[in-house]
Amino acid sequence: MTAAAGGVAPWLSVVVVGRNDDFGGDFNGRMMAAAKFNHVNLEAAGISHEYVFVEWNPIEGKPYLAKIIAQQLPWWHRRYVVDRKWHARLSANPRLRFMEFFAKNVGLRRARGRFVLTTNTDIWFSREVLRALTRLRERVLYRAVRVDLNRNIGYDDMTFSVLEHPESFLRSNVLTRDYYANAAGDFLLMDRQTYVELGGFNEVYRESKIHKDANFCVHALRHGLAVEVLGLVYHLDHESSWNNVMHLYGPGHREAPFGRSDWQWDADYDNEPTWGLAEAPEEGLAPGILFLRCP
Amino acid sequence: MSVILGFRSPILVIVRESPLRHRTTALLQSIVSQEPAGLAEVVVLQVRPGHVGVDSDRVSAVAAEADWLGQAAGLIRESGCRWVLLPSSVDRYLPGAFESAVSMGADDDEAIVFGCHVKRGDRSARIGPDPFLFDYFALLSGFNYIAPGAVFINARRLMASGGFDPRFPNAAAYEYLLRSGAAHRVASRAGPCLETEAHPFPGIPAEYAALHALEVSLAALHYNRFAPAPGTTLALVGVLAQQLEASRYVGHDQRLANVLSAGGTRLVDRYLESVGLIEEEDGSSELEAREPAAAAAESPSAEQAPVDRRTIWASGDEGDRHDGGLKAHLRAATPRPVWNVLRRARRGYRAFFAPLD
Repeated sequence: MTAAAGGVAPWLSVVVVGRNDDFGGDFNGRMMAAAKFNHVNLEAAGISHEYVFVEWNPIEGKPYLAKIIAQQLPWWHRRYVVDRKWHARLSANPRLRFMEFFAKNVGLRRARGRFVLTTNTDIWFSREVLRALTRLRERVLYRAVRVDLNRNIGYDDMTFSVLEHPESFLRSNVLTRDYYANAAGDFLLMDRQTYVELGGFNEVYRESKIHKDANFCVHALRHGLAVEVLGLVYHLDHESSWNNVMHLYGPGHREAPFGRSDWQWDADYDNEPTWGLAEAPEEGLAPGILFLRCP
Repeated sequence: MSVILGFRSPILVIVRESPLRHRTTALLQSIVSQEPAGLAEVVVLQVRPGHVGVDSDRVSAVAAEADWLGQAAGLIRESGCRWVLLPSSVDRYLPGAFESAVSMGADDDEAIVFGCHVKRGDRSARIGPDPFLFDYFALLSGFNYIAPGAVFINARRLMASGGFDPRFPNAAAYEYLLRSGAAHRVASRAGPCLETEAHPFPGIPAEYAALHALEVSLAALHYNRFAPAPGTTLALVGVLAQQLEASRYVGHDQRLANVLSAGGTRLVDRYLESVGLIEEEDGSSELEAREPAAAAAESPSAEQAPVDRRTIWASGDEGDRHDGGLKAHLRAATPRPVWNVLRRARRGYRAFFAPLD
């Protein structure tokens, strides 16, 4: 039930981002396992979908993760690699290694689904979320509660029985007023038209990627969107997870590779019309992979 | 083909696979190493495909069903076993445990309960009355000191009473003991048959504590004719409060969670005291010492007799069951109205130093 390139637009676009940097340990393995699981279950639920991957600030000398995906998951629909020079031009923090939400904006701009889910590569969808994906409405910000799972359960041969098992449970990232923003970056679902009208994620502030997801929740709510919680998603705990590193790097995380956390994320923003590298020239890199060159 | 085809052993062990594979592997190893071989056969209810972690012709596996108790009942009927065990993933049977049960000479319909050792960090503790015995009224009051894996459930008696109650998938052994323990004799054996953890329930992994607490509360409520049982109430409130620590909240919710979880720990500790948890003096693990269960079945030595045990088995003032020494004397000497004023003052003093806002 997935949509072929150039055919009928799918119901759902799933946008994930990353690079070949072994983030959190075995990033690629977790990514492939989660994507396979979700793809199979989306198909079983009859949800037409496309997977969009954006590689940001790729590491020199290492194979593009976009190419590894093409080899291991040939069903993957669309992949983009963003020239490293874009990161150098746009980042205002020399310590910042990965601009997650700029990358998600690239995917958002190019997604074709009627609804777009920006999520992360190590997120497994629950049964209730899969059921809910068939009955979405416009101008609603859909959220999910992220449940962190014990990393020792591993990710191979994953089943719902393992995901739902009490012994897999590590912690729950509950959603509370006013913005329902806890762990938002792992599940932000909205119709594409509204995502585009809102201008995607904040590209005004360029020193950090932390709290950009919460900032988007603020942005959406200030534009009058309703919030609905669809259920749970599952996240395999790893070393570099925010819950495990937030106590490091001192107050405000000013020395952190993910950027500082002490900025005014509850303020609204207004992106330039060219957000998401809308005007970046695209060149074919390999079958199914486009390269966004930095002029 | 039925996984039970050719079953010959007196004991059927039904193991619910843990997603933490090392737990299931360690449990299975403690089972298949029991001597003499052939006393037990194991069926693993798997949560994911693949190898269960142990190679043995006495271990088979099937995919776990949502109604695992119904699945277990089917396996028991097919097997023709005499006893069935439902260990948890944190149980480790001690050498000789199965032989000890089989050689007891219990009546055909009797269940057998054993004590257990509880690992607390790098120390070991006993739990339950000393000498160990089956105390139905302790269970009815909600003070459960018996690990589910230490209950050798008589299969014929179980199936004659309707099998496991599907309302209690996480407290099956406890509910069964409440249901059958009054009308039918339950034999007990001094000495532990397994080593396990207690959070605070013996033989219940920490991840199941809240579920188990809720189910035992419901079961006890039913068997007490809908009056709350003190033990399950103590454990339920303590466990729920303590487990708030597992989640991240913000603002007022986080402050409330901090207060509750601190109080929850105190309540859980009180529950452990009440069910007779006492750390072993030498601090060694029974499993590490590799003592045969038969030797442990002898009467406990006199020097292990407790002096002041705040448990339901301790004798003393019924109204001050959990207090001993000076406080009990003061209370006995103070007029009740004065004592109540002092208690309220103490509560107010504590609330002043630990407000919610």
